[in-house]
Amino acid sequence: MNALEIREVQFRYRGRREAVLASAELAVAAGEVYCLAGPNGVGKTTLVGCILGFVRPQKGRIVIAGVDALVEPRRARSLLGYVPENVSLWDLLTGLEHVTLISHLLGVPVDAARVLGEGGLPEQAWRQRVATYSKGMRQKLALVLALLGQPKVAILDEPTSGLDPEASHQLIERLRQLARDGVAVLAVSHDVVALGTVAHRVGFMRAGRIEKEVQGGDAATLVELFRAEG
Amino acid sequence: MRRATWALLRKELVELRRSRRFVLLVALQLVVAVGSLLVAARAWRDHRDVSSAFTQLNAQRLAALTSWSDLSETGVMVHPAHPSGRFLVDLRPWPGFLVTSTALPLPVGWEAQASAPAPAQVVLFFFPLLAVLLTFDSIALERSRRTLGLLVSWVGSRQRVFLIKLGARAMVVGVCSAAAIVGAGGVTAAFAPEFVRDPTFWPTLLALAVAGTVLGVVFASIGAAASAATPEPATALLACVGMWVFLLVALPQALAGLSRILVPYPERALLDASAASLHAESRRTFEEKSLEPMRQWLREGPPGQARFEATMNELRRQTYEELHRRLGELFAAYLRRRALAAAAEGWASRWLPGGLLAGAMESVAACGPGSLHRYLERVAAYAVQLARTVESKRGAVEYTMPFDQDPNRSRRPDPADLPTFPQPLPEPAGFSLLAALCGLAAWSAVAVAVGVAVMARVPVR
Repeated sequence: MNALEIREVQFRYRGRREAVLASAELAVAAGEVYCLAGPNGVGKTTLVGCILGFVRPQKGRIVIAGVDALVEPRRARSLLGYVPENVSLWDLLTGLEHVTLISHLLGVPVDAARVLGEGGLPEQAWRQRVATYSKGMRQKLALVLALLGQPKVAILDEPTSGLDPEASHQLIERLRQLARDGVAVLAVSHDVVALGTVAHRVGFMRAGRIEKEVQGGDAATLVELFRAEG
Repeated sequence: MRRATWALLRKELVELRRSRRFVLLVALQLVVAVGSLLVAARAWRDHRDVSSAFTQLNAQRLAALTSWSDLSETGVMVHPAHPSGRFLVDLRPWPGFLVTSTALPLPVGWEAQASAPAPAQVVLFFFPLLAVLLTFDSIALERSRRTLGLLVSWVGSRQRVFLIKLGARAMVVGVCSAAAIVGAGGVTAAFAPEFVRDPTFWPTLLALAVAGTVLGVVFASIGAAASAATPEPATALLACVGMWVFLLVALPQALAGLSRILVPYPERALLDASAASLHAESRRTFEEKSLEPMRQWLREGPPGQARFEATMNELRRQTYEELHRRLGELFAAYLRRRALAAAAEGWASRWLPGGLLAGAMESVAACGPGSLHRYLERVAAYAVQLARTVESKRGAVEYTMPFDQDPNRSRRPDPADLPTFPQPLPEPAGFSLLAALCGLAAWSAVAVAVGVAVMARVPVR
């Protein structure tokens, strides 16, 4: 069963003639890592916005773990975990406070320290304000927060952007673990080399739709394809 | 749901507590509140000393008076309480210092004096500014750093996010405002204990704390609504300060100006001229009417002297009676027009947040236009009563006697014969604290409704 299904989604910003999304179709199965690639301005972020309910498509259907996101947006949103490109956190709060806050907002009681430990955040950082965190630590914390509600689908926007090789490697291992746990992962990224190694499929987007899908794996092939599609 | 609300509320409070801006603003609020109360205490002490000095001077002056004529020289406007002949309108001493800082121009040499800056005015202008400075980025900052989308996706609704964030900030603004005023009262008690011992001190201060707190909440709501309507914190700050200037300065001034055009204040110079004209007319009438008795006395010779003097004394009594009656009417009409203009000016902006607070505090301290008008009416009535007393004490004039040999002129007046001026009593000005609080709550509700409506259209990413 597909955890995320997007069928003929169309979206056009008000006042614009051309559609940003033109009959976009996508399906990600539970336990699958899907990497969505493509040049800037082809509609990747808008597609993510439609899935998350930030914008409402004019046409089409989005189903998350069997729930129609356009009919029951709140319920559908509770099944999603989202890590934005520029990780947005509250600088004055500590890592522990972030976990406590979000777990309370979600109504999911968790052991904040355990969750942070599992997320790969060093213990000395738990009680530090997030303003002092490195980009990698922020990314890790954002992923921890996105997964607190035990989502069926995790959406990551440019997850490896700005990370050093070590942090990037740790993130990829974390995604692999997520897939093993049965979570459908949709990673929107230009970094097909890094994410291609973990992705089961890589989709290339152009002019508001996914034009080509290939199996993940070989970095050289993916780079070649990315060049050709770009 | 309740747990989520508390979690977000706690997050807001933690963020506020850890921000330097919050600490700075709260400290500033306390310093300003303490400073204004201490200045008011100083002004109160000065006023008390001056009043005491005036009382002593007045006693000396009365003791030195040689005749009733000395008092009647100044006519209806004389008042023994002030050596310069001017009438000091003594507002209830200390609430006046808390509430008003305006020296009100009163008719014919009367003045109202109070201190500046009054704590109520500091609260009126400063607390709302602090409230908007604490709330201007409540939504706009989340939008600009892109955490609003996350919050909305976790909390479930934009409106709930808005209400919880507003609730947290309004709570902080309210608690800080009330604590600043009450804390300032405590500091004042330590530094100026006699000022605090006045029985009206704490009730008025508490009323100020309540009204100031609610006014702060109103502007917190306005700040949050402006924050929701603007995409960047800098724009939100500009919008908030703009609203502050508009609602507390520009609009009240414009409405006051409009009110002065539609219901103008009576000209004091005209009153002075009219009073002088009445005096002159009275003198001329007296002289014209005294011609015939004088001619008759000349025709009759010495036997007609007694009748002449009786006629003249009766004529003088009638003339002064008429003069005082007309002066009284003139002043009453002046005061009515003045009260109407003051009321129109007051009510023009009484529905605004600042006007509501000012009205409530004037009501509590009984120093608003209504109370002042009632007090001035009493002053006018007393002035006429005083003039009549002086006239009656002067007694009959022997017109045939040289002026410097007039026995009445050298008769020493007894201060005990003068009527006592009724001290002003606290009078409600027809505008209660409860009405003001309801008005402020309505403003807050409107701001919240606008904020919720705007929030529904905020683009969330």
